[in-house]
Amino acid sequence: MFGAFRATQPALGGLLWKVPWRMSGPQKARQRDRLRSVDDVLSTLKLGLHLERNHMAVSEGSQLNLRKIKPRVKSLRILDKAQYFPKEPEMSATDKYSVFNRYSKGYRKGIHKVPKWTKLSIRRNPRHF
Amino acid sequence: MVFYRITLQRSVIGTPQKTRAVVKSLGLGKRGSVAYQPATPSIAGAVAQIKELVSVELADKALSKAEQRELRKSNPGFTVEKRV
Repeated sequence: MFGAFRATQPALGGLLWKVPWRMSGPQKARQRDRLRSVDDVLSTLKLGLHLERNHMAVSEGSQLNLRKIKPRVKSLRILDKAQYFPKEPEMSATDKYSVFNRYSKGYRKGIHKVPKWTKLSIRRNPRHF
Repeated sequence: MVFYRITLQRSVIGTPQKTRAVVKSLGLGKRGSVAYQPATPSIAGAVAQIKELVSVELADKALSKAEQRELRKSNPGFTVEKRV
């Protein structure tokens, strides 16, 4: 029972997915990096609109306090609120690395089990779950 | 005027048609392609839709393709004084 025709789990059972139950340390680190890069994009969009509206140069933007600027575009304003779209430091570890799932024990599953999870923003989960 | 310098960091492979349409409408193609767009509410909203795929910087001026290529060039170490 050696070689290419040995009886292993994948050879006998056909489809065998090996997605680990929990995320590894580097996987979590990369997830945090992605969350932060999305936060950067949103803050840059907000700053750009503010500078344009006040006829300021880009160099003046570094002196502004980004927290005090509120975007006037509705979609961006929602993404600026911690209640709807918390920033990476504002999120709990539970929300960073897992998502709500009604079929799982404890109503949570690892975010790495979500299809296309590296190209999605799933930051808010149902309350108390 | 303020411009967004948008770079497509992540490929559109595996994304829905709607996302691809937004990427295309902003003038982005392959991964790593760059587009300059004015900082207006509608452009900001479109970029926010693909926020996971792009990185954005601010610029005072929109650079043309030729100007961008000029910026990428390395120092050749000599100057051409006269063309023969």
